[in-house]
Amino acid sequence: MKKIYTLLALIITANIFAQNIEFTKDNFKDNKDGLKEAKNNIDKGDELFALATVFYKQALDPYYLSAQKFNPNNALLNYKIGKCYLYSNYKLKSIPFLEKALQLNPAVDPQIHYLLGKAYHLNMEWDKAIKSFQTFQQTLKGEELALMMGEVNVHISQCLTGKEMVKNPVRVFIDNIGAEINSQFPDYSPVISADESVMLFTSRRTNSTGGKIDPQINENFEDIYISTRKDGKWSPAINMGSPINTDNHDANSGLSADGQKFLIYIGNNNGDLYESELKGDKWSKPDHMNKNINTSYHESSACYSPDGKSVYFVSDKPDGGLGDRDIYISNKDEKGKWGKATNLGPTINTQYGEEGVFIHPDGKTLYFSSQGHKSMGGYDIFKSVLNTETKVWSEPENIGYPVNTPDDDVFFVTSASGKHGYYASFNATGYGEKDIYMVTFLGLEKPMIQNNEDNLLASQAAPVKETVIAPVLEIKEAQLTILKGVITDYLTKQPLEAIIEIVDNLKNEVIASFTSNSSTGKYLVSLPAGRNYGIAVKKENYLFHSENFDIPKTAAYQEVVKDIALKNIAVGSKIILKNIFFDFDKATLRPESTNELERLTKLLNDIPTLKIEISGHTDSKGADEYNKSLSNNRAKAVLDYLVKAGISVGRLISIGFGEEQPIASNDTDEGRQLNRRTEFKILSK
Amino acid sequence: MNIKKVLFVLFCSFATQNMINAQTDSIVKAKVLDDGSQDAEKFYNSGISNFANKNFNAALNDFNQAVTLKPDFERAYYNRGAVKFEMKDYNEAIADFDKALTINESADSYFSRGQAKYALNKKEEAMADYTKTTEVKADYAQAYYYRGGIKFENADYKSAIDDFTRAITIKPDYAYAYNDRGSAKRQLDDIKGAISDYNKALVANSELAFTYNNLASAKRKLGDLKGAISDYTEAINQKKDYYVAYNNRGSAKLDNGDYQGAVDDFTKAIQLKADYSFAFNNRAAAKYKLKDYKGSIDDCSKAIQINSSYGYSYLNRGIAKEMIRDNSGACADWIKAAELGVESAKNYTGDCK
Repeated sequence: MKKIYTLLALIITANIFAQNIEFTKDNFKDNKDGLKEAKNNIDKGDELFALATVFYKQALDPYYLSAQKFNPNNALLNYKIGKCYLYSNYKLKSIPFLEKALQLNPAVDPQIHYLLGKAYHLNMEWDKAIKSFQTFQQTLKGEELALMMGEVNVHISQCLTGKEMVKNPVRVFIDNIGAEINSQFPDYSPVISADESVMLFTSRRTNSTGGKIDPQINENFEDIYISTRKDGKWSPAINMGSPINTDNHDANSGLSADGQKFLIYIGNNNGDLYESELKGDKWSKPDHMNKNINTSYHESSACYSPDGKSVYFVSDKPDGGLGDRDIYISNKDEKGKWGKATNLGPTINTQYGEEGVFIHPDGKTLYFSSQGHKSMGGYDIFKSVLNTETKVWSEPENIGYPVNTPDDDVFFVTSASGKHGYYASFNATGYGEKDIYMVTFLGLEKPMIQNNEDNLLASQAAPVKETVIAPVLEIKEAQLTILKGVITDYLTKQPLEAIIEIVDNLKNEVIASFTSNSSTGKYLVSLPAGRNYGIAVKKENYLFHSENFDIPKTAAYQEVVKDIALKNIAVGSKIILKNIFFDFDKATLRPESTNELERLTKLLNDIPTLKIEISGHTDSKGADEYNKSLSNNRAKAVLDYLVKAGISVGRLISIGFGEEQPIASNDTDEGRQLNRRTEFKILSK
Repeated sequence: MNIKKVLFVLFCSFATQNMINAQTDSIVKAKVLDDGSQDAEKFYNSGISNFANKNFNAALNDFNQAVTLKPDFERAYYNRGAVKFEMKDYNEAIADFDKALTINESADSYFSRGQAKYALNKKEEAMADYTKTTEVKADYAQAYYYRGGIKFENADYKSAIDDFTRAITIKPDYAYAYNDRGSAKRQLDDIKGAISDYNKALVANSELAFTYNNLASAKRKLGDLKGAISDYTEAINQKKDYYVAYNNRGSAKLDNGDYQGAVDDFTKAIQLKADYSFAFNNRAAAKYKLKDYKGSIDDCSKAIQINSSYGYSYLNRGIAKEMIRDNSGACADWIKAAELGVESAKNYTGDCK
């Protein structure tokens, strides 16, 4: 009797599950046309499926999915659809198809348990993933066993790591940075200047330079885009155009802390690295980095050290490598050439791949992605800190879930403050394909403070209050100072391209040298804590400007904005005093001229040897003699002001040129306005 | 009606003026009087009877008559002082005890004067009177006990422990003294010593809700959250409206990860005491853990509404506001908390503009 029940139970169980239905005439006697079309779709899908994983998307939609509508109960088709999804952006959609394939026919494909394990892994179903991987391991034999065992064990170990990591998530906000930057196309690999004012990123848009599809990967070619941030808002991203973007793959890599230089990946020669510099408002033609960096192998991501003297980069060259892709460093020699590359060593590089290298503006915190170390799946982002005294890297630390996921997490950069990180990720709620996200690190949970009280004294009705104070949190923030601002001419207010030298005052050596942008005058330098810095701003024919920053080791992150106005002292140089005003038709200085006159007085006081000629100019209206006299009187008024302010008359000459020296046309109002001016010329210094 | 043979417990109510529960061990016995041969003594006895029936004005009148008829009637002055104490007329009470002391330097009078001075917040003078009490009567346990209490209030916990120990030596079942010595030890971070004393207090008298509460808080300090929750529960069972214990049990549950249980306890404390700012503040912490940030903010706001200088609630509200991305609101709260002296708030204001 018991046997009968068991048999019945088995029959009932078997009937609950659908059976594998092949695409045969017998199974679809009533719909021959439908069958024909479905088989046709499968054939077309199979052609693409056989090419490479990058064609799975097209195999899936429309071909396989159309056939699936006709017959949802075919094990092999479910398997293929599951596999296509697993290699798409919609990886988790693979699970029901792979599960169904397994249920319809457990022998559908030898890899079914492996793929299911990967899918569960991505869906963070840790136990199911481990079980699937273990089942797959049991099916392996001989050569296959030797080949796959290690890889599957890595997956299992990643699942165990992931299981622990999700129990202790890092506190972050992750925000899509918006439609100004992200598009329906893949947008990724963001890099930022230290103060988060400039972002470069890579995108594969249909209007990429050249407008072609890369047949190798079945995607648009990459171009680099730029956006700037003002008042907390990113400007609409623009294609950087020529000479940065070419018909080939152009992907940004590292951006210098001041946003004035960047490293580019171009798909030539199996992938090489280039440099470009912002000159005024134009980026220079990408310059191929030398053979110490580029090899015949694949050089991909790279970044500058904050002093600009080193470059960290990734290469898969076998020479000096410890595994797949590794991170190397190259230092600039005295001639300014990139020197021989050194592998960062086994603390950082593993037998697996390392990618997406980024050194924080503090010069010692390295962020990189690795498939090794303690990854929860694919590439995870890790952090290691260089001991600046012993030159030893700390054991890489996984930056945690949910920034890291079971999928590949690569190309992560942080702001100088360490409060924000930027990276790309695919999320169904985004703008399409991969988008760029900003991570806001909240740090350890801020403990709320509770208040309690007890009736400690039996004789007292009033309870005694007690506040349980939580321990003070260790504030983990970047210990550096960002010094930035605009360098201008003291009098003309025009932006200046000046050299900014950073000196370690204790060692009396120049640590780094930067140049402010000629068209904006902007500069930014990163000053890691623990030194006394001298900042020297220099430009030929300008008075030298210096600043001192003593930043103790324990100093917290700070951004100091310091606009610097340099004083022009070139003999013969003429400076128009744009802010000197006179009463109409008179030589009486108006009160709003005071600031300009005070600046001029200070300049003469600062450089006691300076001798100047003050000249007055008019437009062409009115009689020549009258104009000459008026301009002479006006120049004299300025001279008198300066003498009254204590400047020796021997250092000053005043002269009126009337309309003799126009700087613009006298035919327009605007031109005449420019011609009516007071200027001074440096006679000697 | 043989009232003269009765022991009058006149001081019972007086000596326990400030106590949570009746304190039987501080009773001062009145004299047993002989048959009324004198009028003064008749008034005296009538006064005691009226006092017992809470007819304080009549009692006062009786003792007035007694001392008028017999100006050196020390006990009548003493008892009149007790009536005045009961009527919260502490200065007049002290005057009567002074008078009693001029007639006879009794330990009771010093002790009672100490109580009246304490009521007037003259702690040093009260302490001197308790000392005087012990000089007159070395085994006056209550005098040591109350002197220990003042030392405790003055944060002189070591001396307080000495006094409580003397009281216990004289009166080995002195439950209150065990409780208070436990509390003094707790203040000195001798938590295990505190637990031992609280347990001894409960051996002497198992009906002390506040001792269960104190025992629970000491266990919470040691991280024994399960034990703490159990003892708070006992305190609540003994005293159903014990909002302090509800608030404390809520905190223990919160520490133990039972966030909803904590919310329920804080809610109960609020039901029992609608203006209990601590319970609102603490419930905010529990709601934060439940990711109910809006609820958390609302509770902090209520706590602040009750006590506008509640720095910790500003700190906590800022923490909850951060989670709903209200950075400016969070900053404003942390800055306010720092202004109100909450040092830890300064850790968070670095990014505030």
